[in-house]
Amino acid sequence: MVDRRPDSEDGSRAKRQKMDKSGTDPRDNPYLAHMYADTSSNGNSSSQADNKNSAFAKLQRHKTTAALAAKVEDDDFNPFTNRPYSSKYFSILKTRRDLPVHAQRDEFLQLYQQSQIMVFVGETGSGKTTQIPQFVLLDDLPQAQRKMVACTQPRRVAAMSVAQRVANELDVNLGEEVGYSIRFEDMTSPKTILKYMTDGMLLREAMHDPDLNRYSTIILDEAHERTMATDVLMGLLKEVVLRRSDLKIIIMSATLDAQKFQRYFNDAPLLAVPGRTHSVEIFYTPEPEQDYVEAAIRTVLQIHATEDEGDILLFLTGEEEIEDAARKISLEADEMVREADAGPLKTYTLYGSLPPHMQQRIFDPAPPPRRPGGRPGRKVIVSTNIAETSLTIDGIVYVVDPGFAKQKIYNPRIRVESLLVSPISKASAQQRAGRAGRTRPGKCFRLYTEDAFKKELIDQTYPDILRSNLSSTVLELKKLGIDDLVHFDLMDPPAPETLMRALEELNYLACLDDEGNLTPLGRLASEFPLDPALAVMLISSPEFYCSNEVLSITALLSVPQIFVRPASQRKRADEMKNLFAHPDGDHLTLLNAYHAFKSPEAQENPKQWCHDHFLSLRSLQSADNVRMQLLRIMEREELEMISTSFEDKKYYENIRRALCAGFFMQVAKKETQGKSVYTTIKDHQNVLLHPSTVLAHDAEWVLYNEFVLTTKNYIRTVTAVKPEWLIDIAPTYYDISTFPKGDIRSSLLRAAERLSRKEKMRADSGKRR
Amino acid sequence: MSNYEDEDYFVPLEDQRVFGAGITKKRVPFVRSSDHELSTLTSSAPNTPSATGSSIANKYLSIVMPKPSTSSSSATASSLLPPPGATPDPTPNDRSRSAPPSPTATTATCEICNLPLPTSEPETDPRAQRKHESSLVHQVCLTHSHPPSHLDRTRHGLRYLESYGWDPDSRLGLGATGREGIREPLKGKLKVDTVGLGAVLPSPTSTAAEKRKTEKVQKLNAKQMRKGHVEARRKGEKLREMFYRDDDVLRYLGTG
Repeated sequence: MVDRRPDSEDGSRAKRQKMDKSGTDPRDNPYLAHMYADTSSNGNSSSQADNKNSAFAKLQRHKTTAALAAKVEDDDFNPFTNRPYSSKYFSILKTRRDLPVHAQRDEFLQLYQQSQIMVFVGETGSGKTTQIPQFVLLDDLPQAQRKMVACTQPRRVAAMSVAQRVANELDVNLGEEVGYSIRFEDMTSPKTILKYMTDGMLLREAMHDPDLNRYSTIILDEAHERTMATDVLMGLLKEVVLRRSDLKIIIMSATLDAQKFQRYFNDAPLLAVPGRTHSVEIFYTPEPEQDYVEAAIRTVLQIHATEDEGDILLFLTGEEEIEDAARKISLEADEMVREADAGPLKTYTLYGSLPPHMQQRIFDPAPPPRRPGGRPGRKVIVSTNIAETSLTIDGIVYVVDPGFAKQKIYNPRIRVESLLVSPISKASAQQRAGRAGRTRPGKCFRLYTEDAFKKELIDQTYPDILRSNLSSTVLELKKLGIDDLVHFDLMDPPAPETLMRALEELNYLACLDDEGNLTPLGRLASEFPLDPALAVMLISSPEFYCSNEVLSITALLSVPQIFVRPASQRKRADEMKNLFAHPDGDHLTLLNAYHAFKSPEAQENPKQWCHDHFLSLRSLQSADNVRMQLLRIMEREELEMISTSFEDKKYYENIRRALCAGFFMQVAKKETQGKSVYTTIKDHQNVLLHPSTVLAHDAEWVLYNEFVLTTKNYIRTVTAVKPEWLIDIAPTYYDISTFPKGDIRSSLLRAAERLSRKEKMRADSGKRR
Repeated sequence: MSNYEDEDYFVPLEDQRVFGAGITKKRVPFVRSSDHELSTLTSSAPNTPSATGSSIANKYLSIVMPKPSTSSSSATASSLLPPPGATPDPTPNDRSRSAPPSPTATTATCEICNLPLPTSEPETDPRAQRKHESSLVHQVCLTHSHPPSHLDRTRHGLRYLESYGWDPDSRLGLGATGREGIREPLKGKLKVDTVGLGAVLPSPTSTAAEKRKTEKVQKLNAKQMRKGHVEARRKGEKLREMFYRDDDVLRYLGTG
């Protein structure tokens, strides 16, 4: 890449020379041509660059101070766009300068300039996510390097909304100088110099650009959340900085356990900025509670009856529990209004599967008093741990914390990922308490004893990488060229058994060969932002003449449940679902529903149609979007898009076979005794078909998409398959000699016999001809 | 008021309140936190596992002698304990001991358990040395071999990890040298009730106890006993055979 010499000396000299018309323009001097080689090569941008220098001339790369930067920001012209600033810009600028991070701008810049890696700790409300990248922009001057500044976020929504906010603050159009990039959506342009993106997207970019050469600075925001992608990126960046001395890294965290990051990055310097939070008083129960849900409800009502004005946030574990508690709270609150003249209490619920417009309602203001001068109203938000970090709700003064959350856990021995209600960590409890101090001093009521807090809670929540199936991560790492998975320097390396499982799964999927090298199929599969099993299914679907249909199914499996089943109209919803039901299983039912949704009749008024048929329009639309994105990848990779004719009697059979190509490791066989009890192949877990299944007949072998661990083990989204297909499609996995004596083995033997007999017949008939 | 009564009449069963009107009847009590306000995490580092001999000895002592006053208990302790001269701050109880060795002899310490050796010239007195070596404290501090890992050696994934230098029997996790990770996958516990954090329900334990009682009452006749006996023996044999036929075990035992 050509150096454009951003130094102010050069810039100002050029400017002076340009104005000096009396003398000869040195540009015309052929002996000095090399000095202007770059600017003359693209005339258009040269004038722009000169103009830019008018404001940026004050700055020198990695020498900016807060005062200098403030001067540029106070200028009349926007140096990024060469347009005068709008009036809104200056009003935003004023609020920006009030943010806590602004007070420490000089300290930040000094540390940033001195070090390659730094850790920045800013509590919620310090303004780090919006301001730090802008501080970096005015010091790193990435446009002069033809590079970008990246800022990663764990969540798509955050990446989008923060990018919008920062674009407003810099007075530029979103998608031009400031953009964002998330899975299935890229909102950037060649002009982009600051890019907000999900951590997963940066990881995907690293697969094609292992040194991340497009970036001059990479900021990993919300690193304390320890998502899988952030953890892998940190390990990766630790290696990249050794190769690229010009790359700067900032790790941003909201909690004070930042020493762990510091240690991990070889004692990188640390800067901490206090947040704008108020003190929170913490209360415990003197005795453990027998029923935390009931205690939580009582506590909420107690706060409503006795405490001063201020909204309440209650943390519970899941949708059902939350809806139930919310209903009880409103019933009791109504009673209190009637009998004790309490103020009005409005209840809102919040959980991941709630549609966005319902989630938005939590920001409604608290209800007013019932009559002027009456007792103030308040709202109570009953939420999962979404409200712990992801969403910030102002006005919360009271937090009720029972100490539980649904947390993911992966058991590599039976290969099941499940969500279990388990005690939170101390860090998590502190984070929850902190939510009470956003607007004024607050109170946090913990429904456990102080002793339990100290003794029963672990210090930190386990990072995602220790609680997930690693097969897609291992595939990504292999694609990134990291073969030594044993010594790869992760902050929290996973258990050996979990990694072994992932390697074995990838080997069975033929993404890795027996030596553990990436196969062409594995390389292809890593191009898809999907679970390896889904990617392999999609890639092999043309062999089964049904890539169009399998693509639809893949998209439908990647979005939230499309069938809606409201508690009040379960029967009606089930009737509607039966319209789409296919006797051979749920995958085909999904496909039928999708095809119906795409019919012209439904597309006339999709909203009404979905409402009538108890389908989620939002899920179907995002499935549509995912399908389009995946289609683009398939076309790029030159995978054939074909279908079997619908009239062909093998139409559905082909699809079921294609499902086997990806999901042959998720198969269960019916027990000979016992009604509808199934046993998973190789892992020998007893499971039941989930009650939501439409599978009509007693299928002996079924393939499933999901293992749900509750009081009973369920398999959800199942489709009937035949053992012959499995032996045919995945011969290594279904190598009969590896199965222990028993029902499954004899069934497989019979299937193999049928298969060979059929083959023999085919060969015989071939000979006769 | 009658209006309300009518309303109550039509509340469906599932919607009826679980607890009575008026929460004041049964308040959830709360106590202030001891450090009052939300503070940053105090990293209450638990006792490091690399316990030295003396810390184990002290812990043992604190269990055995909550109030170290009787002379008999101090006498039993003296076989385990360093001579009082070694402790920097001798308690009155120590002073009451009958025959403390001279403080000059305490400079010699055992290399393994970091405890002062019991006699002044340990090399010359093999009996005292053996006594020290057989002491609990010394034994605890000895490094000893561990059984091999339970992992199936034929697994493909293990082969991969081994080819990059991971030893399943090393009792180390993965990761950069010196910062190895966890050795076993995290375990989850299925929770289906709404019992609060730290609470123990009395009922399941009592029912379990009852069950045990009823089991005891069951009597077997001779035939059943014989049958059970044969069954148990067969099981044991099968297990032994499975165990000793295993190549890995044979290799480990050094006979294969």
